[in-house]
Amino acid sequence: MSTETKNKQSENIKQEMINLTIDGQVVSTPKGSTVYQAAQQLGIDIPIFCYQDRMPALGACRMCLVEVEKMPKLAASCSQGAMEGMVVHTKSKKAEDGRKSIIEFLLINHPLDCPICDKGGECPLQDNTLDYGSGISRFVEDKRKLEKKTALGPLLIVDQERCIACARCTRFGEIVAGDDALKLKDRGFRTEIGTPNDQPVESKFIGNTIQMCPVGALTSQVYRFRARPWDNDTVESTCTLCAVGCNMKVDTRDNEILRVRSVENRDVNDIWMCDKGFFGYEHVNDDNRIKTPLIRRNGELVPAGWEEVLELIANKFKEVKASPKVGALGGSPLTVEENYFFQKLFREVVESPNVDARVGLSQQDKDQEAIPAGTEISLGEIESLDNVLVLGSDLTETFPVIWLRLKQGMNNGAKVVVTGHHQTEVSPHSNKEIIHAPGEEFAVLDQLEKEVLPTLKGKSALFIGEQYLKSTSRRKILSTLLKWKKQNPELSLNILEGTGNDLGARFAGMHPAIGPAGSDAKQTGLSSSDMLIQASKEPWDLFYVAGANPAAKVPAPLWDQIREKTKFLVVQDLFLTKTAEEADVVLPTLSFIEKGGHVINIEGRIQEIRAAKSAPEGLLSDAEIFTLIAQRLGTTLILDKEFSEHLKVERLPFKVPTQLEEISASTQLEEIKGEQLRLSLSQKLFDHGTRVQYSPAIEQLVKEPTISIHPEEAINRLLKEGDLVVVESEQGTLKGTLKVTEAVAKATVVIPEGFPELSVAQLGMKLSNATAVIVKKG
Amino acid sequence: MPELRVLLKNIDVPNQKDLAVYEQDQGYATLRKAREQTPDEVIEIVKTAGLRGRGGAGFPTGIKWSFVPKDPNLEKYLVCNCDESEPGTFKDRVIIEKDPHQLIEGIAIASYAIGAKKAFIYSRGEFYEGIHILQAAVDEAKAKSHLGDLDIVVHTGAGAYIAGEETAQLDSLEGRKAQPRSKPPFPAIAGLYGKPTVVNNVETLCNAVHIVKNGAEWFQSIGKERNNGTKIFQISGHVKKPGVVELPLGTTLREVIFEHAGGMLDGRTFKAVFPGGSSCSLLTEKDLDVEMDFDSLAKLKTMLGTASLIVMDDSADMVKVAHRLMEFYQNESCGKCTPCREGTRWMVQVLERILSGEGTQSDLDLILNVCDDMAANSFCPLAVGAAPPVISSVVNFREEFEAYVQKNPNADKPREMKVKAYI
Ligand SMILES: Cc1cc2nc3c(=O)[nH]c(=O)nc-3n(C[C@H](O)[C@H](O)[C@H](O)COP(=O)(O)O)c2cc1C
Ligand code: SF4
Ligand code: SF4
Ligand code: FES
Repeated sequence: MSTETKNKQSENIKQEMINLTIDGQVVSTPKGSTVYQAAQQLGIDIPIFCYQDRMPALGACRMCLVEVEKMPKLAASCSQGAMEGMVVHTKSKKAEDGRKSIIEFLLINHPLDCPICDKGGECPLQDNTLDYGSGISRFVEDKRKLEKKTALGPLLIVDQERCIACARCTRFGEIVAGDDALKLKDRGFRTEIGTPNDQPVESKFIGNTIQMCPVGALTSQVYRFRARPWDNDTVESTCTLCAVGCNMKVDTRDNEILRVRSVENRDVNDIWMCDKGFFGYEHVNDDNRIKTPLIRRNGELVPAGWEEVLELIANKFKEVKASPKVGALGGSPLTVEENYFFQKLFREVVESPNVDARVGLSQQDKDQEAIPAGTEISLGEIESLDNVLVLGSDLTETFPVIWLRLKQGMNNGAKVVVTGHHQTEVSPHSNKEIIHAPGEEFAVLDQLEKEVLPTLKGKSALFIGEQYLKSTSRRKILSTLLKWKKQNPELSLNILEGTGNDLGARFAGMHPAIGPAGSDAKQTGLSSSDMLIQASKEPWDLFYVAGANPAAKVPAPLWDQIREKTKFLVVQDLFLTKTAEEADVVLPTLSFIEKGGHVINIEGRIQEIRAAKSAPEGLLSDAEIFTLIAQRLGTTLILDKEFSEHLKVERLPFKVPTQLEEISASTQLEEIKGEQLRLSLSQKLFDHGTRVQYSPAIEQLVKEPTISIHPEEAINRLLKEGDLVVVESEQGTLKGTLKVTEAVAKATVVIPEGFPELSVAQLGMKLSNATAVIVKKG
Repeated sequence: MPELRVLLKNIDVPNQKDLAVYEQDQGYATLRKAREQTPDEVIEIVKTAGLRGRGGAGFPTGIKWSFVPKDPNLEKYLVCNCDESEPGTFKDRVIIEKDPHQLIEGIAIASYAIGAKKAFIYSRGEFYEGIHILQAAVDEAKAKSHLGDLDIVVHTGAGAYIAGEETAQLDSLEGRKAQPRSKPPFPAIAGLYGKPTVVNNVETLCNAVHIVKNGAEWFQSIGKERNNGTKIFQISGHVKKPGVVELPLGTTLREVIFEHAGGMLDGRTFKAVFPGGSSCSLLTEKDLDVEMDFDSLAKLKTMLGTASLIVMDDSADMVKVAHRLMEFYQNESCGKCTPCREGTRWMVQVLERILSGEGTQSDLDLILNVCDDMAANSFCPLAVGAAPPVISSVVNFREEFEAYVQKNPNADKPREMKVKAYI
């Protein structure tokens, strides 16, 4: 029985208990527990290989054998139910002999290449051999000879000789991730690890299998043969590569990051992470990082000293003080503290209200936005939900580990209804799915209201994602959901939007209408798109961009105008982004693995990040840079006390209004004419953003971005898969390769964000889902 | 004693596989009779008759059926096990090829008794002809409305002995690799797709037809107490007349071999027999008077199993026999559990080494010891069955093993382990 089912059971007030004796001690355990679980209660350690407590017991490896009185054979304690009056011996001669025999069987064909094995030093097989192995082998035959190095895709390498066929990795794919990524092929002693149809492994979660493998059979391309575990220094931190905020530990050696592993947190990521988290750190080690400040001289960016650039920026700040044509952009990769300094520097020192961390496609104003991103329930509660409605959210691509939590919920019995503009990896697991064109959200909500809402019993949750939120009707959609909540108090609202530390940036006040800790901004500034649009039309004094790449987020001709009209552009980043290449001053800064501070995840949970390695020489953190600039202008940036108090809570409260007033702002959908289709922007976990580009392992997981339409739409336009097509909006055009798939709704075109090679930004500023576009042969 | 043909009664009737011919000898009348009674009454008849499963384990069939929950809202399934992959076993094949409607009628009766609306016949894929005959018979029975609302699916396995084990069979039916499941829950409670399921052997289900037709008392009158009815014995090996023969349970081993199978080949003498397929201990000359039934064979620490006699004469090389059988288990081990996956392979290696003249004296005890460990701690009965043929060969014919070992000049020295560099 999984721990989850047990959790569910323990909610029942009267939990039936049974008593048994293990090694002479009496233990009382909930009915349905296994002997292994009961032994754990007593702190009695029984060795295991195949058992992993997030999955039901398999009983395959037989390592956990114990003696049960009155039973003719030894029992596998991981799967043997505990029964009233049972008398168990875990350390009797019979039990120990049984386990010794299992270790002997496991070792006869095990290569025992411990001295060169990644797992050596943290290997359960090594540890159990120490306890149960015989010094002398009775096996004098030839060991099984198998492939030592089979690459199953770009990240995973399997050493077939080391595999003990415990099935943890294959069952992870079947039970936890639902992606069936790995399979045990053939049978008997010929059993080997493979993939369905021998294709490269298809998974966003394969790092977990490496972590779960009890031997050194599964290794990663990045860590393989790089270190012995005892030589590593380990620091616990938080992943900021998406807004789930998985808890992680970073292993370094000689100040170089070698690997990332997950850290258990039942409230957030449980024991899991996604492959972006496991392998996305590589960009931090990349040699392409900017190493010194750069300054533009005679049209060229050339290295400069910190003194010079900081002085230059400080002087510029003096010049543009209180100008309405100054803006601060970015903040998602920065900590809460850094965002706080960033907005303070601009609001109080430069006296500009134009601060915005949201640099990208659509940004609603505060009224349209209605309710900002965040979840009412904690991620840990997902696995005990009874019903979930996933509305327009591509979970595995945007909040991958939320999918794992939801899958666990489904394993525990949750029913899931999915709606959206295209199918997702969640589709095959859903109990009901509605695929529809952008703009048809209200018809779908009506249908759900009639067919699904009345059937919801128990704890239910709405997960609403970007397909619906990036709609001009966002406010109206959310007001419908609030109405549902009123009818069903057990229904929680969870708004899944954004990435990295987006919530932290907003909480710190990097928002034109909102100050620190959710206060109203003293003076409302321009949103980033309004700033950029204005700067494209009339002269603009200064942009300060930190951790953002606006040049990639607006149509190229528009950017050229913006750049031309912007007198001074400062970019602060790890890499020379498209925007940085055109800056007047570029400031190198630190990654999330080299600094400390706080970040806020999608639940509003305030978590710490810690420096796992020291900063590269000569680099400063965003916070240090802001502080030094402010100092030159006579201001000391400090976190004010009241604000730091806010960071001491575990989770920010997620405030859901009881209802939303209709506002006059246009929620009217533009009419669709003739050949037009409606645009739906999609997100990819492995997009081609800067950090992925400089992380070679996960870069190999990036799939070529395509423009996707339904086969009927393709036939109507005489288009076929692979055609080069042009997408036209009122504001621009985009060329790309066509994909024809029934996974997409009719009357819809799906284009992913985050790919420089297929830059959807070319279609215009302020794009929303349902924008009418034309697709034709290119 | 002459043969007593009940299940095999009509196998030689021309075109018995055709429905019209089957109907001539009261075909499907018993099914109609069963449906006139309540399902519980049908179960009760089979229980009283004392029918024990013919698939190998000998579990009482009526009791198995009565474990199925009665809740009419629960979907239930019947699975007919026709995987027949145990070495020496070839009885189900005769029935599906010669008298398929008898099986279909049995399936329909059992399905009625347990409340299943869907039944599966899981046949080993190699029964190419039988599968086609079965399918045609199912279609015919369906077309003539004998099946009512029962749907029967003929499913073809892909070649795995372990798919005969009932829970592995369910996994295979569900589209996964055949590997056994943990019990409990037993299939009767949570089987195919998690629904209550009865798995019965072909011969078991055919017996049900005759029990319902002739009554429990008739069945009890055949064979012995707790071991009632006839049994289809299959005899292979060094006998004059290998084949199938149907006899009451309790017929002596001697009679089966020397009367019904025609005795040993000319000029040869009896040496040993595996009485119940390959997964049991062999018997020798001294055991020839054992009565062939579940309980008598259990007393000799062997098994009736599928009542498949593999008979060996004095020309049999017991080391080769042990090696050949262990090789079978090595190849058929599903690989799920450690002792079986590793142990079968290890034993094949040791036996191979002995055969090649490189065995040592200590290998013989090693074989006994490792086989014990393997059978004691495996997940499912496959490995439990892999040990006895080898152990009993070593125990009964140790001198043959020693003769091989003595070919090795270093037989009395422990062998050095070959250490290889893998780096
Ligand atoms: C390795 C293994 C192979 C088996 N193969 C078969 C088989 O081919 N046919 C069969 O009927 N039972 C086979 N069994 C027995 C089944 O698990 C099960 O006991 C039987 O089908 C139940 O039917 P019965 O009650 O009618 O005997 C096998 C068992 C094991 C452990
Ligand atoms: S690769 Fe590792 S986790 Fe997977 S079955 Fe083999 S030993 Fe187990
Ligand atoms: S004993 Fe183990 S490996 Fe062998 S068939 Fe059964 S489960 Fe599979
Ligand atoms: S841990 Fe119990 S059988 Fe593997």
